[in-house]
Parts: sequence; C-alpha cells; structure tokens
Amino acid sequence: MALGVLVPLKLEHVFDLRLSFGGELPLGPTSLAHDRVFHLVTGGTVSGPRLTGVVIPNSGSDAPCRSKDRTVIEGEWLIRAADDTVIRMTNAGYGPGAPMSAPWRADVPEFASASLHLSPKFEAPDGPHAWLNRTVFVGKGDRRRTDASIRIFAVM
Amino acid sequence: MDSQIDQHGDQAAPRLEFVFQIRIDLGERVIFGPLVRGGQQGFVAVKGGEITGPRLQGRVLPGTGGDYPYIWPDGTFEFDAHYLLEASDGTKMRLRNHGYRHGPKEVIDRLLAYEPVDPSGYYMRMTPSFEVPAGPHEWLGKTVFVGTGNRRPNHSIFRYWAVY
Repeated sequence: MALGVLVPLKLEHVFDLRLSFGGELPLGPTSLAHDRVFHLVTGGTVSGPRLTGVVIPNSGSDAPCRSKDRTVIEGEWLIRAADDTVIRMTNAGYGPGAPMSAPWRADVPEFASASLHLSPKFEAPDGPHAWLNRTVFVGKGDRRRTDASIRIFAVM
Repeated sequence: MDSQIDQHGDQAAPRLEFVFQIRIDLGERVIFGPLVRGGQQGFVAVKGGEITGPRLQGRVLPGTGGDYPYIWPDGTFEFDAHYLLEASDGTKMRLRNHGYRHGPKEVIDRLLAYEPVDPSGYYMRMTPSFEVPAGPHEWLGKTVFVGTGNRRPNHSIFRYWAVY
C-alpha cells in the first residue's frame, strides 16, 4: 500500500477569537434529548498571524446542545476583517457532557487544556481571504458565561 | 511512525494522534454538469473496504453510500462522503467525511491520471464525523478528527488523526 505518499499533517495557527455573549435563551429539553441554549454574540475580536478584525456585533449566535454525555457546539457569526471584508464563520465541535444547571467554567483556560474541540468553517468572498473557504480548520477553546476564547488552526 | 505530531509549542497547538486508516474500494467515478448553480457534481460508490489502526479495526459495509463531491467552478473538490462502518466487535456506525482538494492544475491533472504526485504539491484534507451508539466506540462521537487521503484507480486510502 502506498502509505509513503500520505504526508503527516501540520497545524498552523491562524487567529485567536474572543466572543462576547448576551443574554442566555434556553430552549430547555428537546425531543432529541438535548438541552439547547442560545447566546446572542454581541461582539468580539479576531487577532492572529493570518486574520485580524472584529466580530460584527449581534451578527449571530452560539447555540450549544448539552447532554450528559457530550455538548455539541453549533454557532455562527460574521467577522469584519481589518480590510473590511465580511466573512461568515460557522463553528461546530464537541465539549464535555454537562447538565444545563452545571456552571460554566470560571476561567478562560490555557488553550492546551481547553475543553472545547472545534471544527470551524468559513465563507469569504473572492479575494485575499478566499483561502479560508477551501481549508480544513480545527480549534480549541473554552467559555465563561459571558465570553469565550478560541484558538484556530489551519490543517496543512 | 508519525502517530503523534507536536509542533508550534508556543501556540499550544492541539496534539494530533493517529487513530486509524480506511481503505475504501470504489466503483466507477461519475462527474456531471455544469450544474444550475455552477460547478459540477461527482459521485463514486463505496463497494467495501478495511479499517486498520490503533483505535479502530473493522470494515466498510458494501453498498451503504459513497462520496458526493461538489466540484467548484475553480476546480476545487469539496468532498461529501457518507457510508457505514462495522467495527470488529460488530458495532455499526455512520461516517460522514467533509473536506477539500485543490492545487495547481498540472498537479491535479497528474493526480487524476493516477500518476505519481508529490503529496506536498497539493492540498487534500478532511474532517470526518461519526454517528455511533453508546458503548466502547462512543468516543468517536465526541472527538474532532482530521485526515488526508490518497486516491488510487479503484480504491482510496484515508488516514485520520484525533485532535486533542
């Protein structure tokens, strides 16, 4: 088998994302045995070697589904890059299981020990940021009740 | 063995742990278009295959799916595969694989002709996800994975790493 032609993967730091959340809107238990909660994304910052900008205020939501075995991360919002390009970011991934009543983590942790593992996608217009459309990304991060910190890497 | 890759320590990059590889036996590759939305639609059926590696062993269940890639107007392949796996203990699971392949046209043309290509000369990465029952394999449904692949005339080989 031609395994030799499968290169090992590298992770390249792209940017760090900080999100601010507004009020919590719980849906409560659903027919999928999840507790879903919505947080309006009220703003944020993007800083890093390959993308800088801001999160456009109130441009999306963070809507995790918590169950006892896992938390499924789902969210999307808009980034305005430093050159004014608007980029849609869709976030997905997993966190540890927890009941709805469980407290959010009190501190933004070291990324190495962060509890959220993420697989974000981007939609950017043609131009200097279009590489985001055709690249696989992973992320690690964590959240407090009112904000989150996520570090994004390109899989190269 | 590149089972664990650590780099960019100052950026606290996630640790990648090699978990398994899947050899997928493929049917005839089909591409049609141009589509109304632009680009082209591809399809290839999954005829079977084998899963080997430290964290999962088993087989690909024949006739349970395929890859339905969307080929962008610029030639980028966006993989969208789904099919069923059966672990060696009999557990069934659904794999969905999403990713991208692109590169210089001359490199991709040689790849499509199954000629030897330097794998660093083009981009082919994916991120699979799993629907899996509770039990010994449920970690697959709680873990982010990344992978790469090697395209051969009648099969493809994918290798996957867990992101920790």
